[in-house]
Amino acid sequence: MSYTVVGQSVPRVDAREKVSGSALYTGDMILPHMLYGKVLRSPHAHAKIISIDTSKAWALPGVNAVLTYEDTPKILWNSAGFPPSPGAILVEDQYILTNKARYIGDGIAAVAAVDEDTATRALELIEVEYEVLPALMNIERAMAEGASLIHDAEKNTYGHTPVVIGDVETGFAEADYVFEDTYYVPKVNQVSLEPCGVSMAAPDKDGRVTIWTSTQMPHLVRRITAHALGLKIGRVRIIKPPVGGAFGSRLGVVNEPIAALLAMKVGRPVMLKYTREEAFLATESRHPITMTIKTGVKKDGTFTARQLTSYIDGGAYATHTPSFAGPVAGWFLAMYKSPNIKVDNYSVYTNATQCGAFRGYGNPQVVFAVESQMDDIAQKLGLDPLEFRLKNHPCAGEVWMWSGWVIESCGFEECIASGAKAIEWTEKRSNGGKGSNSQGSKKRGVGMGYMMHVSGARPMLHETSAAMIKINEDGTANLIYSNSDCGQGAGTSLSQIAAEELGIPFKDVLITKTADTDVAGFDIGSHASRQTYSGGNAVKNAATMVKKKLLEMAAEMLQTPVEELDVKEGKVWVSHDPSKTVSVAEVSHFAHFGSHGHQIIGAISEEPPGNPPVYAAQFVEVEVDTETGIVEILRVVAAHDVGTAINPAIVEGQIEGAIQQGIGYALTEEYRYDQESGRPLNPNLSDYKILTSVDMPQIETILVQAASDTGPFGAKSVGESGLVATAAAIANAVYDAVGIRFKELPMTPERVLAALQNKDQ
Amino acid sequence: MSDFNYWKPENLLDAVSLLANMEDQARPLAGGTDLLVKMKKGPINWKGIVNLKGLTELKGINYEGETITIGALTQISSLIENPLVSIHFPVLVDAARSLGTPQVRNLATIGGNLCNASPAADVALVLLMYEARLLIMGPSGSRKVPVQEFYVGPGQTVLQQGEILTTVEIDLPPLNSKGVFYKHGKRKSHEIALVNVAVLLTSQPETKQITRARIAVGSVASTQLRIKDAEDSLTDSLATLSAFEKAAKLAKEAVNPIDDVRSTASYRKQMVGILTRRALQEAWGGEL
Amino acid sequence: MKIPMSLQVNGEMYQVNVSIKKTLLDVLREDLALTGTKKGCDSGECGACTVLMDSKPVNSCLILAVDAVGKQISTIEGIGGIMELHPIQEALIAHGAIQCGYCTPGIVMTAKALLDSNPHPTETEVREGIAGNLCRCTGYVKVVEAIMDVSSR
Repeated sequence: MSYTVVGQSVPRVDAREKVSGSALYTGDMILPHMLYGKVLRSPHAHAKIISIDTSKAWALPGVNAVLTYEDTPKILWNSAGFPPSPGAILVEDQYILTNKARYIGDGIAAVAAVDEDTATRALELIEVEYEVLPALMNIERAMAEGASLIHDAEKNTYGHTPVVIGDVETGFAEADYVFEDTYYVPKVNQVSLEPCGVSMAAPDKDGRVTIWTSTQMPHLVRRITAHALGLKIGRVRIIKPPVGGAFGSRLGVVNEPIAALLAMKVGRPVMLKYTREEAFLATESRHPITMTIKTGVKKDGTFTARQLTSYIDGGAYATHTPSFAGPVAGWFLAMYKSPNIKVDNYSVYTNATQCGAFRGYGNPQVVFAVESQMDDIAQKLGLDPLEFRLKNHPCAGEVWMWSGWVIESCGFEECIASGAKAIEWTEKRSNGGKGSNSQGSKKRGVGMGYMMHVSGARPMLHETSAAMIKINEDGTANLIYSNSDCGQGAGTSLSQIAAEELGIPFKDVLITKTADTDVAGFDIGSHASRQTYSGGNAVKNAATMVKKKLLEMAAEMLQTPVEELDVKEGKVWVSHDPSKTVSVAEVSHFAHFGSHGHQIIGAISEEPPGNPPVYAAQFVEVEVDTETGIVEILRVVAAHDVGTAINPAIVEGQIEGAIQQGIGYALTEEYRYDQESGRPLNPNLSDYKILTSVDMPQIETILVQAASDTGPFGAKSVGESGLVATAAAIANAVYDAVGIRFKELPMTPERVLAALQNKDQ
Repeated sequence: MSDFNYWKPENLLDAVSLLANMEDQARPLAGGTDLLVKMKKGPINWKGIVNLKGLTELKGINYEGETITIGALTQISSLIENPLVSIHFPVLVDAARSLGTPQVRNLATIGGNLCNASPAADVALVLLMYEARLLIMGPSGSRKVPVQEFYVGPGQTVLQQGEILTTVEIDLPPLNSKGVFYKHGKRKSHEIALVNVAVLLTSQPETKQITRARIAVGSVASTQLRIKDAEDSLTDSLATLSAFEKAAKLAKEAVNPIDDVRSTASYRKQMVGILTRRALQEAWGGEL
Repeated sequence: MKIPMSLQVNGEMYQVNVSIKKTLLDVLREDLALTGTKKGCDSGECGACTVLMDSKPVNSCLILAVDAVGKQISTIEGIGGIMELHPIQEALIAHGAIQCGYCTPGIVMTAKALLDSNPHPTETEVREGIAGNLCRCTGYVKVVEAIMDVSSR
């Protein structure tokens, strides 16, 4: 299909303001009489709070408020940004300020003062008496007999998500081989460049509070914040300015309730900005999971049974975890066909910072485990790893078990073919270190990983999006949308969709760059890789509605039946007579100021029709230094079926950035705690290591555009996919290079060297 | 950040007397890349800062005969850009280039880096390899301390309250010397070495004989170390792979590193062996 | 204690009266309302606060404002004009190298200093030049392409 602006890598609508430094992020803003907030954080991983004396802090000049649990509404809430939906299991166990310390960093008190320095000094004057309890820093300790209870859940286990399809015991009995392996993946942090946790709350004289916040989910944050404050939803207004990256860390409430509580107590605006250290300490990151995967398979590679048992370390508060367990099951069972499937996912409290959403939402964890085992199975059975995936993945026309709906399109075969060719798969495979790609102590290998992911979260969660388009008198169009772009480019892609459907130039579409819950219709926000598919559907349908009204008006102006008219390049054309034309501006002017006296407006609020999955095959070439254990990534080839790429440069950028996170997940990133005290060991950018420009390998991105039926112009999604299969591909490449299977991430030099030495012995 | 008293003296003697005042326990401020981080993190027990950047005499790189002198306030980036340093002390440039990030290198000074006394410091390790001398000015006058004797422990030097490191002196290495520096880490920028190694081999090319070896390792003890046993094993010996392996083994056995957030004792110990051997091979350059 | 100081930023002289312990980054953002320079970590580890001091890229979070007196400070606000953009900025836009934009001002400053002193760097030199600017969105791929594009002209 050839389009006018869809499929073009047009410059982003917010690029100029960002590149010039004039974009105002939440933390850049200031309001008159604004105060600055700071949070006092628990120094203990697990402790009862016996008493808090705030008198000295109150007495410090420049301090306007010192709040504790006593001052918070006694309303429990859950920070996860979900709409009430079948898949949303919201265990409400958080107060705005806690009455029991459950992790180092838990918010005990909050201060508002004239500047950050005074607020910080006020924190030091708050006296808290704790009764320290044992710190339960891992699942084994948390579930042990007699372990302290972090909340009220028996054995600190508060969720069990079971799935049963068929009967796995029968399936295992029928198998020629049964494989059982256990994998562990650690906690990693999103590390958006704008530290997570920045809100500016301003109360007004009508009892409302407006909160500017760096968030992914304006309308859902409005709901939760209002609930936490004991206010009606309409009393809260959330405005989302440009956001400096999110990757799931802002998929729900972060610090909006604390900011709002302070602001409403003092009757003045309050800015609450977390430091980088606080972003590590007190905001939600990726779930560590222990996964046992048992697979029954026939000699020819057909699955007879697949089973996942996982223990999910959700940290100190429930937030996403009980709901998260559902997608964890979904990723596992939907990626390969099997007549018998069993899943048991357990959610466990520990005294670590609560976990929430991070790009991929359980899929990177599951795919690391599944795809590692797949290569082991292929090797044992003597099957080609690529053929093995091709044989067992669900294809177009088949039901995708994630959603229960038929798969609309599948470009996976092309992903495999083009990716394998680009990495030189056949030439470079070493087959467990027996290949010739070695120079002395350095061994090379190639590996791959496969994944599927969603376009939105239907049917587990509502996927409501809303768009309103109004045509101005000059033919430009305002597109009012709850724009939850945190850098992924949704504002631009949606503008392209609107321009394409309306038939007007791209530069004439003016999308709301911020999201404002008082202005834009209810929208779920930015998660589950949904904005292009779900948001795009609403935008396209709003545009269709507007185009219809435009053409009806033009039909009147041109005295021509509406069936013979179309809009292109900002003009209305008559199909058989190019000389008869009228501009969109003229039509709009006529609508406003002719006999009708109205503006052409179209508004849609709806869910998209489906959830067309995306596929990817990532191929990695590594070189393992067998004397130092260092794994060097030489090349990554990422072949992704994204449906129609609305803006190819944006799509590539999403994949490239995600790969940086995926390599970090595989090799260098791990957020660690002292297991006795619960003290975080690396809440900083020196010891929590994200890749720099000199660490990145060569990346080749291949876009396979298997257009969906229901996506706007055939689009599907890409936002999360880029890092889902990366760690598995690297682990499989390392196996190819040195014949060692790593079942734990990250594959640090220490672990790799130790494994190499064990192998030699 | 806590409040502090602030002075910016215009001459060295004033700086010394300000720093010697025991009440404020003032710290010297050079590039600020370590001091400001410490002060923001807190808690600190000093109440004053003496900004040394007014002491322009402490900047600059000069040659006197066979000795280079580097003012303590010389930025790390200036070291890298200096052509004579590149020619005569290329290993120092390698170490300097590995420090922090480009932005940090434009601020950090050689004196500040040395006095920060991190056992993982890269520039300090190479200065140890080159057997540099440090000129110190204090209330009782000036003294010269070899780098070898400068460090007492992590974050601790022999500097007394009131003493300032003013100059780094390095003699040209003997003819036919070649050095190599390795910084071993998990990423290639903004990294603190898990282990670093600096070796300098002086040889007689015709006879394939090593006349002198200097082997320095860092991040594996409370200070950087010269491994004398390993150096001695190579003095007046033929350059062979087994000689290098033996020296590397001696280096490995000489160190007792610790486990910390960055790595493990066992891994570090092994890396000393591997990297020393590789560095010796690379420094030798030719066939063995 | 507050002290008065004169700072030269983007060619203009500013008079401020600020605490001795305030960093250049905080003075730029809070006292001069130049919020284009970002605070990503406040400890010299991310590069989002990069400004040019006498043409060299530095972490403004590690500089006491008083130490910027007498220096020429350039921030992102001084790059390009009211509507015109510098070629580096144009290239970053054209190559799709800007996602969340939070690292972007720092990268522009570093890239400008790099190309001013080395107009035709190799790709390795570009990567080494921006190795002190962390980005979590782009994987640096299009950023490097954009800088190489400008350097090839």
